[in-house]
Amino acid sequence: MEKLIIAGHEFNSRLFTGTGKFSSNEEMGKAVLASECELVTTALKRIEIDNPNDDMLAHLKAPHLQLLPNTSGVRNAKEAVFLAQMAREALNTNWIKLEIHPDPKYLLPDPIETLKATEELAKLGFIVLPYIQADPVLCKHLENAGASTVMPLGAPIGTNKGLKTKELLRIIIEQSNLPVVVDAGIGTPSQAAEAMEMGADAVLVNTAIAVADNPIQMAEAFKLAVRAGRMAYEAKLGGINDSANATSPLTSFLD
Amino acid sequence: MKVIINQKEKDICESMNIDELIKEERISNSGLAIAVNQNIIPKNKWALHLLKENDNIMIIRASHGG
Repeated sequence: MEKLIIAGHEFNSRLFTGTGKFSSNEEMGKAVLASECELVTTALKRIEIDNPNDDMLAHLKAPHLQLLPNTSGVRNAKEAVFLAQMAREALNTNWIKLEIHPDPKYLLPDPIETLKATEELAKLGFIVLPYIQADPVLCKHLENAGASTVMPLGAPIGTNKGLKTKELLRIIIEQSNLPVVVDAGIGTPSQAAEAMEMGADAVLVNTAIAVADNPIQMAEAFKLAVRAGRMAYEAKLGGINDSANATSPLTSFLD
Repeated sequence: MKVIINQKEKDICESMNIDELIKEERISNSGLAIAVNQNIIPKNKWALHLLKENDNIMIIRASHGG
């Protein structure tokens, strides 16, 4: 399998995972390891002064794991730039998953503020991975603004509805000069495999793994699906025909 | 003196620096970032940064998310 390269950094795995919604840090850590992902997202939050400590990072210490902080919770570009700088300080990384979704019901990303923030963060030396609507025109603007990937959604965050934006994802994959990471909405390993077969460079999966009855086994299922999908893409899928096309010789036996 | 920490008022000792505040409140510094009055204070400046009355302190930490 070809390696994935983002901003000059090589990844063996094309599955990115998140750390939300697990029932415990132990389970989260084991699922992340089972997924064999190399890039794992974290959020940032204000600590509670009466209960300030959480050892989640202790469960994400494997040497192959790189943390990708997100800007979830911000409402505009100004807040996103501030939080990205806080994230850089907190986690000592200039990689940032840029998420600006002011609407709390569908958590849909704001394209205008995302574009503004991408431009500014790229100038500040960040490796910016923006979470966006599956909008091919926006992807081109983000490319010019200095993004390092585009991360279009398959469906709204946490819905497990799959690749509802498939036709637009297809156009994005065709046109993008940046790695395309399908983020959000992927609910099953088969949907992840389908995104990879279409030529997505990677997928990010959190909810579908974390809320499974057995998140560790589901993480492994996604690992295999992403690998299978990518291998199929690289092997090049056969064409679709309207009429039957025999795979066995059509020998007449009773002539 | 009074300061605001993460939107809550708190009484702390006079002329305390950020390092001392973290130790006093028993906050582990793993995955932590701090801003005072919207200015991000790098970790290597925490011991030098004296807090003042009415400072607005934001303390964030890596947390669970996708």
